Amino acid sequence: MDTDPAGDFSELIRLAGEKAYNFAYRLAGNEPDARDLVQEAFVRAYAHFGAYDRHRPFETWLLRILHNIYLDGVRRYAHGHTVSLDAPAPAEETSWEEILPGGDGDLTAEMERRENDALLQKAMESVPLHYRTAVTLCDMEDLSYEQIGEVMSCPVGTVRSRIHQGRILIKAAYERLERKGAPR
Amino acid sequence: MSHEESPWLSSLLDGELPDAERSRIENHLRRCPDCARELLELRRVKALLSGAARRPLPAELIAAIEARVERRPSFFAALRRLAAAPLVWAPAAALTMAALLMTFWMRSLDRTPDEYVPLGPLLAAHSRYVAESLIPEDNLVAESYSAPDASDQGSN
Ligand SMILES: [Zn+2]
Repeated sequence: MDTDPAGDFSELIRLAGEKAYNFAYRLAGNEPDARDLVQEAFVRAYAHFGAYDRHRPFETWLLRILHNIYLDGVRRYAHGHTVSLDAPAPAEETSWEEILPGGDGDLTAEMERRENDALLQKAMESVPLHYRTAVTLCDMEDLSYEQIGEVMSCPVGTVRSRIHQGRILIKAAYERLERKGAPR
Repeated sequence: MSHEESPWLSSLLDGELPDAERSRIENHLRRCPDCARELLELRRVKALLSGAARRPLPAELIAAIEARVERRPSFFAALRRLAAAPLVWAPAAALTMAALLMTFWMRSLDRTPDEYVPLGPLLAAHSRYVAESLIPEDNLVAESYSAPDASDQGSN
């Protein structure tokens, strides 16, 4: 064998890493957990590289591994807590005022962007996991319904309804949070 | 209010409808302001999500992954691991050191090596460690382990 698998793999890390990291961030909701998820997903992908079908996109396979690691973690956590994958997580009662440092209206554009992003993330986290995962993969990571079905191990019909319901739920949550806390 | 066409609106937005279904939904949209409005709202949500901030892959994360998947670790990476796991490495390191010392010691003597030290088992053991990736090959100074040749040591 002439090729260096570790070298090829470095190329794959650069190609699929950004997608994996952003997906992981939207799942976990914070950067340290997102980093751990991505690292674990790549290490497992490398260890089981023989099982990867090279005729299919690597990123789909990687995101599927990452998603399974995340679900595994959630289930383990849920074992000792009351958490359901299909029911909305109990929303943290953090108000807009608590997220905002000031609320006096003289925010820079960058701060505003960050706060909007935090608001969006919070809205997404209030939506059942399977719904927001499907929406994240579709709208943020640009996967086709077929690819999303592969990542989430479900038929395309299920993907279809999860995306539709997910968007409606995210919109409702986002507007609720905006109304609840908007200082203006 | 929600019509039976409503669940298909997201699929339409995503370009994920079969042709037949698509023309049916599009026809309905022309006659139904409710569904047209819902489609507009779904489009806004999709735009909000697809326009959300993206995080670049941190360089230290790439390095951390590469360090874990590297098949043949560099000498320095091996040294760091040696320092991190002294108990695992102790036998291999001791063996390596012993073999090195033995070789130099033999060379310092003007005698044929087979009279003194059976290097064979040591080298075999080393090869085994290398094969099992316990010691990276570049951990060793190659000439210390080359079989003593006639011109060098067997000349007397
Ligand atoms: Zn309608």
